[in-house]
Amino acid sequence: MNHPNNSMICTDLPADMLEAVVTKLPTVDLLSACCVSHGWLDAVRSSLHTQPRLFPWLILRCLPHPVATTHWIHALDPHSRTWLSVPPHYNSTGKAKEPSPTLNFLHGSTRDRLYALTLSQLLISEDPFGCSCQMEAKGPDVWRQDPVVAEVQGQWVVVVGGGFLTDEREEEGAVEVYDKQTGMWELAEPMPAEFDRSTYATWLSVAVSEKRLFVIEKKTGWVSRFDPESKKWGPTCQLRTVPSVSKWAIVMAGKERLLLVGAGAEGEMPTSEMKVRAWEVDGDSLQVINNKAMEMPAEMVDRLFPNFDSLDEARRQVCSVEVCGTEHGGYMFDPASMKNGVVMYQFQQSTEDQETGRVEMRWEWVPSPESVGRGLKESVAVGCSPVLLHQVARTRWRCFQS
Amino acid sequence: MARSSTENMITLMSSDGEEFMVTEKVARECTTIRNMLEDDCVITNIPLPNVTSDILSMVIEYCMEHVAAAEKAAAETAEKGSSSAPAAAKANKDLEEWDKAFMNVDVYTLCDLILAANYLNVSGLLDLTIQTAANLIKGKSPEQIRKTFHIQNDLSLEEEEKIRSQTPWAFEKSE
Repeated sequence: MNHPNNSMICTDLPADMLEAVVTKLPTVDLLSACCVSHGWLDAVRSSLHTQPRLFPWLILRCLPHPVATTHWIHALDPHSRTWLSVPPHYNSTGKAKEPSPTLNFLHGSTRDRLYALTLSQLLISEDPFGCSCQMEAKGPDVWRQDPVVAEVQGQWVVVVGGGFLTDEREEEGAVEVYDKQTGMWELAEPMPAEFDRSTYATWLSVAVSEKRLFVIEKKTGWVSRFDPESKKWGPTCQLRTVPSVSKWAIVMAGKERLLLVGAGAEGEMPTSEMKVRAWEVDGDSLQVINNKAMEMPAEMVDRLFPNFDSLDEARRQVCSVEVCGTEHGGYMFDPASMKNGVVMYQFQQSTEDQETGRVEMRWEWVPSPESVGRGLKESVAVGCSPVLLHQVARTRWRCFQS
Repeated sequence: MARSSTENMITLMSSDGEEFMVTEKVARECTTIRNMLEDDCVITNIPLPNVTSDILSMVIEYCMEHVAAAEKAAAETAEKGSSSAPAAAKANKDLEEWDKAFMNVDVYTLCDLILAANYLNVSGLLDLTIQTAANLIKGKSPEQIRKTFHIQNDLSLEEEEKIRSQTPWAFEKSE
């Protein structure tokens, strides 16, 4: 870290100390910091170079009510645990082609982006905030509602399930793959029969590795893998590690390694307790690597489900936890209520178990911003992506800290 | 290194020649001094040519407070057999409050403290001062930051405009 020309900056802070200071800054403040002087610009550059901010941000797109046309966007900067927000009237796309299409999260192995899918076209944004469009293509053949859309290996866009049933043939689990190189859509093997009647994105949890797409049925725990190169599914199996789990979810935990998350009420009424556990699953064999679960601290489960004790048995059974993240870590939350907050987790190498490469998890509670979950009809879409400085710059953030 | 650590005194000498007598335990909070003592255990007089007396007295104050807090916590644990969580939490909070009040200084002093904490390698103080400096930057415009830290703007208008608009972040790794 030698900046011979800038050895005396910030009253008289040397470059490495200044770098240490800017490294502590929330990403949004780096925008100002890099415009202070040459020395500060170098410090910001050096900081981002030596400690790239790869941990994914949590991004919430909140639709205040079903007929609203614009969203609140809330983005959690994990480096400072601060939320940035864009209120609805600041974030209309402002493009000529109005009305703007409905944007959803496109799952990716290292980052989620946004897509809009209609019969005539597929739009994909360059960033997770939907500020600019990167890719436009012709739409797929099957008319769908609520499909899973994922980008694999940067080459394929895979559209899974949510197809409409027609009289002649069932297309609900139809899978289509768009090849960016050829610009062509191709029909692939449909989803395995185990996913019948639950091919909608609502019923599925999705993870994308470098090479493949993984889906798990949230209620039954059936999990399968899709390879866009061969356009085939399999193996398909049921991962039921603990009988009390009523809701399943998956996320990446490493290269071709998944984290299986199970949530459910354990014990007899009225004293049953909500448990959230996680297991590592090998992406090749789809087998649980170690039956010893990592467990979310009870205190954080209580904060996710503050009214759990007052719920009747049936309601306790439907409590669920969803997860999104990358191999660096991510977030778990109660999809039915984002009002209180989310649980951020980070993977770290187990100290006692270094040979197996087994990971440990560090958990942290992060409260939600003020305006999330206030409206009864609000719907929240959740995505996860590392955010680069220019992407922060392009978005018109308004309130900086909630 | 057997020693009656409580009463072993070390003299620290600032750049302007002022001498400060501290217990070895306090002095050892500075990793730089600890290393010197471990290399040469008979040394009792340490010149610190990079630290002025004003700043050195503040560093010593910080180390003394933190040593006292750690001793108190250890004594309580020994007395009760185990540390009681609420008491420990309160002690932590008190120390945080003390740190916060301690950081109520002007930016020149703050920058000098960063340099001294770095030179003497007092990790707690370094974290505290770096974080305090970062907090001073949060939410400010470039101009407000320059004003806060008394920095000369050496960027031309064009350069600043270029950084703002194009943000040539090619150096930023995106996976």
